[in-house]
Parts: sequence; C-alpha cells; structure tokens
Amino acid sequence: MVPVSHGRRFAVLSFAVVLGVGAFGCNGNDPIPQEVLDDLPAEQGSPSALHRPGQPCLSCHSTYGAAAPAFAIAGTVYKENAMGALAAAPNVKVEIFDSAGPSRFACTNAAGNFYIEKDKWADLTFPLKVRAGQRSMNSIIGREGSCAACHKLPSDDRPGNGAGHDSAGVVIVDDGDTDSICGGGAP
Amino acid sequence: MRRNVRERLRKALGRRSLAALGVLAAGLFGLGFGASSCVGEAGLEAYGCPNPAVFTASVSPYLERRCGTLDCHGQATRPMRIYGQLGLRHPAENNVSGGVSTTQLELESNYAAVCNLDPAAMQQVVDDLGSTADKLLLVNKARGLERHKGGKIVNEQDPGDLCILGWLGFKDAATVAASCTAAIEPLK
Repeated sequence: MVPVSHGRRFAVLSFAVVLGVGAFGCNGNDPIPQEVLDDLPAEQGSPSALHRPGQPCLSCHSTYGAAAPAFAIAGTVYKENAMGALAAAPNVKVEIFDSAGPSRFACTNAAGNFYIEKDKWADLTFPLKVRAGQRSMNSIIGREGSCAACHKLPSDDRPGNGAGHDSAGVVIVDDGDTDSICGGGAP
Repeated sequence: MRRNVRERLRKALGRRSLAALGVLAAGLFGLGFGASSCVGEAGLEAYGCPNPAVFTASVSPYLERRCGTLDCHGQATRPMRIYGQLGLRHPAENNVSGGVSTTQLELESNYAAVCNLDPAAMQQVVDDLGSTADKLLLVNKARGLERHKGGKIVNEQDPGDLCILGWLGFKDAATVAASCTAAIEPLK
C-alpha cells in the first residue's frame, strides 16, 4: 500500500467535498429561472386556472418549476375598459402557429388566462407566431412559452400597459374581440 | 482552546499543507483583485469588422427580427445582445419595445455586439475578406453546428445565411440587402 501523507489525504478529501457540494448546489438551482420564481408575488387564494394572471406561467408550469400540468405555452390577454384600465379579456381565441405543423388555439378564461399543456403539444417547434383575437404579434417568439416573460405587467418603472425597455407591455385586444368557438359572441 | 484547535489542525494537515493553503488563499485573493480592476477601455475600442453601413442597413434588421426577440438575444443577460424596435431597447434612451424604430445608438450597439462576439476570428475574416467566415461563432451557431440554445436558425445558403455571409464576405450592399430582405419577409 502506498503511504499517503496527511496533507495529500486532506487535499483529496477537500476536493471530494467541494465537488459534492458543487454538484448538489447545481441541482434545481438555475439562477435565471429561480430569480423569476423568487420575484413572483404571493399566491392569492388557491391555485386554479384563474390564478396569477399576467405572470410568467411556465416559471412554475415547467420541468424546472414542477407545477402540474406543465405548459407548452400560456399567458394572459387583457382589454382596456372605458376608463382605460386593464381588465381580463375572456372568450378570446389565441392561435399559435409553430414552425413545423398546423396551428393550434386556446381560449382565454374569465381571468384572461389561456394555456396549452406540454403533453398536448410535445413537438411544439419554435419560432412561433401568435394571434390573439384579431391582433397578430409583430415579432416572432424565439423560445419562450410564457407570454408574460416579455409582455410584462405594469409596474412603477413601466406604467400604463407595462411597455418598457425590456417589455412589450401586456397583450391587449379590443373590447368585444371574442370568438364564438371560445364562448364569445362574435364568429 | 483556540490554540488546541490550531495545534490539532497543524498536526492533521502538516505544516506543508497549511503553507500550501495559505499560498492558495493568497493567490485566489490576488486573482479576484486583478479581475475586479479595470483594463484600459480606450485600448479595447478598436476592432476589426466588415462594413458598418451594410450591417446597419441590412444585417441588423434581420438579426433584430430573428435573433433579437425579448426571449432570446434581446435580453440584457445574454451575450451578443441585440437591441431593436420590437425587442430590447437601449437603456440610455427612453424608448419602449414596440415603439419607435431602431435608433442609431442601438444599431451601433448591435454592430459592436456582433463584431466582438468572436473578435480574433472576426479580425481574421476582415483580413481574408470573408474566406474564413465559416469559422465564426456567429455563423456556426446560426447554422446549428455549434451548440446554440435557440437551435438551428438558418440552413446553409438560405436567405438568412446569405444575409450574414454576404456582409462578412464584403459583398456589395444591394446583394446583401436582397438576401436580408428575403430572410426578413417570412418573419413578419
């Protein structure tokens, strides 16, 4: 047996400990999505399809966030009321065109939320184009499934509709821009 | 008590190990101190890159649409940061995403970001008039030959590829503009 000095044994042990701590630390601790999760406000009531409108759905409803169900794409659509304030836009048809196949659509609920579950569109291929009601997005979606990652809610530094340096503002459709296929009045 | 601990530590590790740890700690401190101090920025401002006018007129509009969305390179945290009308706006100006057209400052920033993604290789491209353009990260990531979180963006010789390669190959402005316009069209 080759004798090992105390110093060398200590070095080997230290290396193993550092390696172990490093590997453990990386598990479930991706700083970018974690920062988004940490910044989310507290839940109001209990989780449901109506909860957390305007927040980045896939932060939680994803492999990283681990909330069920996982979403392929999800977001919230708003309209402006007579006073110019933002209000949820229900019964809006949101159509998503991916790069590979035919488009799919989802309908907004009473909170303005819509989603398509990941296992129902497993082969979703970016980039995407999206139309909410009669409004089409000006840009493509490169790889983000949460609308609110780019369409951020208003804040002190992004008043009004939430548009700013790094935000296109919330998704707004015209009042009455609903679809009968989604339970709305218009075809 | 403290002395006992120190004695035990010395016995366990040996003097050499303690000395090595001391040297390592001093080295790390020096490294951190060095990294935090600034390099002369004036010396970093000159860089080699193909025609800025062709870039701002044709290539930047394509990159803004295809790469510079807010969820990709239109993010302050990503390398090769791209500013643009429909994406991230320059923090030194008071514009919003979806607002006024891409500004001169944003175009210049995009040029600097793209040119300095791979500066030594880009200088080589300038020196050999584009014959080594296929060695650039810009080209290989877009082609999906190098790992790219956004995946494969262009196929070789399609309009997007020709838009970038035409600029890197010092092609005339009209040729580059035609490729870039064709690449932008399906993104609208």
